[in-house]
Amino acid sequence: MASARDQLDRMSYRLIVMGACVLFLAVVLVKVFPTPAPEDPGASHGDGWAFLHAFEVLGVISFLASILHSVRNHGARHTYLLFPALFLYAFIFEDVNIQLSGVYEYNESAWMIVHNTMLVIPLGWCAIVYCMLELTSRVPGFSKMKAFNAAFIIATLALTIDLGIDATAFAYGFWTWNEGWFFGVPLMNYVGWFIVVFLFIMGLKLVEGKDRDTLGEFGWMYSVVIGALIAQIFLFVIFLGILYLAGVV
Amino acid sequence: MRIMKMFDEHWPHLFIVGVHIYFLAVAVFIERYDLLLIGIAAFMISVLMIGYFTGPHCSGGRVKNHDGDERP
Repeated sequence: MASARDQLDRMSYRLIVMGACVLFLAVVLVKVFPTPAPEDPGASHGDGWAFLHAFEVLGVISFLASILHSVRNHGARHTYLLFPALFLYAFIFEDVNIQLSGVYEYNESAWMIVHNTMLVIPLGWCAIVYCMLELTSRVPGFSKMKAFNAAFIIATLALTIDLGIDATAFAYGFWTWNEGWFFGVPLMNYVGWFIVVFLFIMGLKLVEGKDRDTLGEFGWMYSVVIGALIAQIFLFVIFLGILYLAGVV
Repeated sequence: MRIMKMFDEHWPHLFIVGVHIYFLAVAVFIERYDLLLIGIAAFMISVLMIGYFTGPHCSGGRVKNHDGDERP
C-alpha cells in the first residue's frame, strides 16, 4: 500500500502537469489574441493614484495580518525566524534586480519607497509565501514530501496569483516594464516569480529537521536566504551564458 | 472568539481571494475588460489549483485544521 508521502509525490506530478498545461494554454492564447500594452503606462487615471495607495495600505495590512496569524498558530519563535528572513530575501532580490536588470521600475508616486523598491512588494512577498506555506502545511504528509516537489508546488501556486495581477498592475501603472510579452509583461517576470519562491522554499525544506546546534535557528534561516540569493545569481549567470551563446547579447 | 477562529482558519484563503478581487476591481476601473477576463481566468486557475491540492481530493480525504486536528 502506497504511503501518504508517495501518494502526495504522485499527486505533485499531476499538479506539475496541470501547471505546464496552464502555461502552455497561456502561451497559445497570447499568440492567438492581440495583447496590447497600455498607451501611456506612466499616466494617472484621474484618481490621483488612489488604487496605488490603497494597494500599499492593504499590502501592509496583509503583512501584519500574516504575522498575527503566524504568531497565533505557529508561535512567536517561528514568526521571528521566518518573516525577517523572508522580508530580507524579497527586498534584496527586488532591489538588486531593479538595479541590475533595469527592465522595470516602480511608480515614483508610491508613498513607501525604500531605495528603488516599493516597500509593499517585499511585504506582499512575505504574505504570499506565508499563505502558501500555511495552506500546504494543512495537507497531511506535506512536510515529508521531497523538497523539490514541495518547492515546485508552492512556487506554482504562487505563480497562479501573479498570472492575473501583473498585467493589470502594469496597465494601471503600479510599475512599468520596458518591454513586454503578455499584456506588456515580460516572460522573465513570471519565470522570476517562480524561481524566487522555488529557491526559498527549496532551501527551507532542505534545512528542515536538520541538526541546528552549530548555526542555531537564526543561522539556518539566514543560510537559506544567502543560499537562495547565491543560487539566483548562479541561475542568472547561466541564463546570460545561454543568451551569449545564442548570440542575443 | 468566533472571528479570530475564522481568521485562523481562513486567512490564507481570504488573502488570495482578496488579491484577485482587488486587481479585478482595478481592471474594471481602468476599463480594460480584456484584463478583467484574464484576471477572472487566473482567479479560477488559482482557486482550482489550490483547492485541488489542499482539498480532500488530493490529501486522501484528510485535511488538517489550523490546530492540527484532521477533519474529513
